[in-house]
Amino acid sequence: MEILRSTCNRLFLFMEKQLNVIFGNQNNPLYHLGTLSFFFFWVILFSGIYLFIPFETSVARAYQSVEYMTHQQWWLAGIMRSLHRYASDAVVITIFLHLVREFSRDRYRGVRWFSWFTGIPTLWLVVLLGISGYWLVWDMLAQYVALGTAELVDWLPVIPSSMILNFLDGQVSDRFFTLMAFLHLLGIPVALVFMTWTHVSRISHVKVMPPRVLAIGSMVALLALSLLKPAVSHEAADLTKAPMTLHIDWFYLNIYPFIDRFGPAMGWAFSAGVTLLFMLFPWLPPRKEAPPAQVVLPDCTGCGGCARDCPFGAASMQPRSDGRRNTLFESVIDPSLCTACGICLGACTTANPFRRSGETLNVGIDMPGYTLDHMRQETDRALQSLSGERSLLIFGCQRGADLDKLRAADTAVVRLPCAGMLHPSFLDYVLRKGAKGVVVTGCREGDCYFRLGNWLVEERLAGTREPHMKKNVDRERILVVWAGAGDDALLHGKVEAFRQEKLS
Amino acid sequence: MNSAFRYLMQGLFYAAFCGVIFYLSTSPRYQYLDVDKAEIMVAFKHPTKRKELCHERTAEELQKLPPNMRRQQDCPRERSPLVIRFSLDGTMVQHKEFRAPGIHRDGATFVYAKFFIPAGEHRFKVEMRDSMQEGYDYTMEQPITFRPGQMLVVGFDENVDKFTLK
Repeated sequence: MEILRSTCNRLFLFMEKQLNVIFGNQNNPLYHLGTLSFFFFWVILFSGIYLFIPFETSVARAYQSVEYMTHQQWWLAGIMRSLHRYASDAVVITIFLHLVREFSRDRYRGVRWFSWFTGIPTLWLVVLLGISGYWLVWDMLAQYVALGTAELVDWLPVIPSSMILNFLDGQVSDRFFTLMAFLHLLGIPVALVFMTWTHVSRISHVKVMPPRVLAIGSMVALLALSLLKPAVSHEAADLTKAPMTLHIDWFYLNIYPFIDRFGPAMGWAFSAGVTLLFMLFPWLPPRKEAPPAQVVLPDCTGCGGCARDCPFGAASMQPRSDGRRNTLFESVIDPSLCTACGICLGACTTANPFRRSGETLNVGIDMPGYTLDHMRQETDRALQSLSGERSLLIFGCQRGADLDKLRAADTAVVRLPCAGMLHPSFLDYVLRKGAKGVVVTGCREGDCYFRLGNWLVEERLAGTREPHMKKNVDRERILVVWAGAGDDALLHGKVEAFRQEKLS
Repeated sequence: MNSAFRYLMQGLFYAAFCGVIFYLSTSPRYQYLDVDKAEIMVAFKHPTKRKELCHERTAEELQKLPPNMRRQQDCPRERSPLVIRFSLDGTMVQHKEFRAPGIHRDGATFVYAKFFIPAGEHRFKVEMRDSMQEGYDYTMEQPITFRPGQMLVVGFDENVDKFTLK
């Protein structure tokens, strides 16, 4: 499993690097696979609403109404139909890549199992939605899909009546067809919205829209495809004829040729087996997480910084339980949600290192696996090891570029679980204690392992988010570089350029 | 990298993305049925005969039963398996056996099968056994001209105990 994951990760890191050059980090499509999936859903929803107006939900007139849209009103309904189809296919690609990427980044185990686990049934609902959509055209492909689905359903021993008999009396009943229309237009979409909400319910600061540039680019691309290669139907369904050559949408209908070849039992076994295997991924093997954040109530001021910044909603503010009068709230950590990233520590107003020498740092929220006190000790040790005119201290996250290569007499390194754990006052602390410059580095921009680390660091240093850095700190002596695994040369180059240009 | 080149590369990326979408949304095409073939689909529900006939219980058998269950006749619920066989021009092309559904194997059997045959004129024969007797209980044989791409649905009419062809 580890070999598979690291291979996938290397592949993704390579592709992301190329796309960062082409699109820039902010608009890299691989960093926005989730939001792109949401965006394609919006396209599917709006085009679907339009298509529902001229669509006839009766078995006798469904095909004619789709043909009317495709050929007579090609300039609007035809384009909408193609957009509906191609956005549905695009969403399968983005969801699939999203799934593989989260696997390759190891963001599916430990306390993050829930999003992975709920993502699998969400993907199934997407597939069911697509299949039911093909059914509604009621052409030969729809007939093939309908009979294949009936064959699958009839295999289940729990179904008392036979679904396929609905089709073989020469005509499908309108009631049955309307049921399929209901499932496609309302039943499955409502279930999908609920599952999607569940999927993201354990994270905070959820984004549902990709960057505007990416949304426009994707929309223009789908429109161009719709104009150049409009979606068309097969000939009308006819239950006295067998389908011969089919132009199958392999994104959604791949199961049907499979059951033609291996039978419905194998179809179920394969689908259920793959689903079960994927759902069990977070425990194959499980990951041992670092201990979760701990609130130190006597030192918690109830400022709410931790709850505001926690990317996983693990910190929340509750009414004060210790009777302290000058604040109404206290922070409470849900250990089942905490990834031990330490971002809450970086957001805590009490997490500043300026205390009397030798005094233990008391802080409102701390990381048992990497305490604030330990962080200051590490920083002090690193500062003491520095020598030279242009000495630098680098704070870097454990998942970014390799920092050990940068260690030198004039360059010391302090590794953190996440760059977002860094309280801005640490930069001031380092500069006051003698370092000429300080560097903050972490995962590639937009690709923080803990979701929001880069963004929070940028906001805190820019002064647009608490906790702020003092105004009199010389910003020229601070460098922020986002360099992920494999970007060692980039980091090295930027650090050396910074040393030459700013610290001479 | 200058911006014109970046835009060009972005365009190529979107084109590749759309290319994948278009290709896989219609291709490779799938040949469900060869152009010179026809399909026969068999689908119907049929309650087969009881596996064992009712018999009169002996006094000894009755004595072993609880008083409220002492019925003179014993009629086992289990139904026979259904066997169906298709022949084309005297050659068997399909033979299937279906067990009655249900915990006690007493439900109506759902028969489903599909197979492809060469188009053209054939002597088509279907035989079905729904009891524990030897041989077949129902037989139908007739010449049929199968058009290429035709789907012939074989059913069974319970009212007249005869096969139907649609």
